[in-house]
Amino acid sequence: MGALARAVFSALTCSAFCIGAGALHADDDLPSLTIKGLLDGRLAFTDTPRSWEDKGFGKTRYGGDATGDHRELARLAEAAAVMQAHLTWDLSAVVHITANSQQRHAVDVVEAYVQYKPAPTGNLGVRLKAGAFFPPISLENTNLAWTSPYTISSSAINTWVGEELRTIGAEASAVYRSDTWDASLSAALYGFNDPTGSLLTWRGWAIHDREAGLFERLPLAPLPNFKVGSGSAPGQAGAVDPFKELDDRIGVYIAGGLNHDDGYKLRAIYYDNRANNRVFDGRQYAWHTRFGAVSAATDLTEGLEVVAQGMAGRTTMASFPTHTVADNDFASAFVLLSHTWDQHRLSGRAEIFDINDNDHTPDDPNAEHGTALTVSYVYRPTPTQRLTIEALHVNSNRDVRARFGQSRRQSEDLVQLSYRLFFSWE
Amino acid sequence: MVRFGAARRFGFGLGILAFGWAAAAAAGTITAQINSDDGAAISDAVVYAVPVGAPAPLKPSKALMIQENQQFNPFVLPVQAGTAVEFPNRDSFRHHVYSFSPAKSFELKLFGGTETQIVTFDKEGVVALGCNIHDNMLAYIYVVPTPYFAKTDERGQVTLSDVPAGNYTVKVWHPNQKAGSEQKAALAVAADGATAYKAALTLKRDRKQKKPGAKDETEY
Ligand SMILES: [Cu+2]
Repeated sequence: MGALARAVFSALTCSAFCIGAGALHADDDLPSLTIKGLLDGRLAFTDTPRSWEDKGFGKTRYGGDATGDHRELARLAEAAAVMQAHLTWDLSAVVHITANSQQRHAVDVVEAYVQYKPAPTGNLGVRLKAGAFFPPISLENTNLAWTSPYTISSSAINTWVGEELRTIGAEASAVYRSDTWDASLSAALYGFNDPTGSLLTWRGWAIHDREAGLFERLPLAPLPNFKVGSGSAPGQAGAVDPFKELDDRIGVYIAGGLNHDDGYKLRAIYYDNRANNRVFDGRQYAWHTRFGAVSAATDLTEGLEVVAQGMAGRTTMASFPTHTVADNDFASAFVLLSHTWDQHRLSGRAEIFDINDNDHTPDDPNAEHGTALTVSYVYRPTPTQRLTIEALHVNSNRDVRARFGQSRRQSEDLVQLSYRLFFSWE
Repeated sequence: MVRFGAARRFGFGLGILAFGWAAAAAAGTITAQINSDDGAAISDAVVYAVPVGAPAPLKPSKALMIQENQQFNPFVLPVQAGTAVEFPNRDSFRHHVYSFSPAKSFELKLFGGTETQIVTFDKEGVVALGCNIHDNMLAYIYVVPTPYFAKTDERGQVTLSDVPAGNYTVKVWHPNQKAGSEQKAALAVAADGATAYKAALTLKRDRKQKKPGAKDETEY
């Protein structure tokens, strides 16, 4: 986000909370404030190439050292707080902030929105959301602060959603509730999502749990095409600023959801940021990014769940009548099985990810293909603690690595041990 | 907001006593066993007996639908049409209780602490309750046209006592019952002793109240 947008946004967020803090006294206990949060201490054992976080070509959050050797790390993986101020019975404001040892600012805002959710008075109801929030794509990141109940690392799809997608705008939903199911249809208008697609193109898919704050910059490897004078994307900064408005065009998505009492859920979305991909602000290019995604989850038997999700789309940069500088099809899918018993949860996820490079730009080879397996065990000794051990194995083949004298095909292993402590205040 | 006073509670007590005494004159009992069609005992099934050819007397009784630990208690509450149900909030935080069922559509804004509000249910049928703040909260009030009702225990058993001798239609309702599998039977209740009733229900997949903090809910 630009400086002006940042100032406006901060002002809006603060005023929402000033109202929350006591300016409005319509009812006895209103407005009321609830804060929930978590701290995540992490041990990571890596046997992988250098992580993309360190401007390497690895797909995981913690990778090897400069020479690609294995490392053992102890990190504050996440400190997150979700503050909800109920302004009236139907209107609430939510601010979700995060801190971790890898982000640009000490504290960043992940989500900040106002939600109007009246109690249903009939089968048909409405909901409105305005501000900055995640589009309704994931059936995986359903816990506090967009974490997953199943694993530490999100799937490739939802890792990308956490990095480059945020609805900075407004969403309206119609909800229909029957006796045994409810269905929703949502439409959103948004801005500040024009560089979305740069990271997916130039870094490729990744698998981790660090979602980007609104003021975050996500690192890119120093690709030759960024060179002024010789490159095909001259002047591109060494990091992606995903939440910038570059072309003053409004993006849209339409999403549908179904929750059935028999235990299954379905989600579908079509997203198009409608960017004018010939705009460049001196640091970031605008990318025209559009995709469809579907997901489903159900309980197979008591304690055994399955979650599946698929996404396919296309992102283009600098389209001219004669040629397009960057034109990539992207796709990914995963299946996750999870078994819970008492305070334990064991999950396994298999996924596949793909980028097809359709353009003929010689210095910009973005094709990749990969698979990943994640096995994770969660133990909840008390309701306020969660201990997770996760093994992640990624196999990927990415063309651009060859330009840096590396092997196209790389295999990565990351074992993480996470201790989470939850807190709440109301 | 209405709060129950001691005097009103005392009045209720007297009423129940008076009815109990009158009904005891020539009354029998109905003992019921409710199972699923595969033989498992079903709890929380409402069994009720509607008098044939005679109006059912209105027998006021005290009924509570409590909000506690981010859950409704009980999960199923049978009441006679005309009953005023109290909704005490025993949590320290707010609940926003609603129903849009045809039998009763209402909305209650319950502040934390010990706030109690009262809703009178005068139309027969199912009232599904939800909370606009806590999506996991779910409960049912089942409104019946008779004072002779009760719900089954863990063993699927229930006894309706003080049922005056006469002819009745006995019916069963359960929140997970499949549509079209409603059960009813004609039953003659004798002045003394118990009349037995058995029914097997076809159930849908189990629909229980979810625990707070379950998946989809905010963790912790
Ligand atoms: Cu509630």
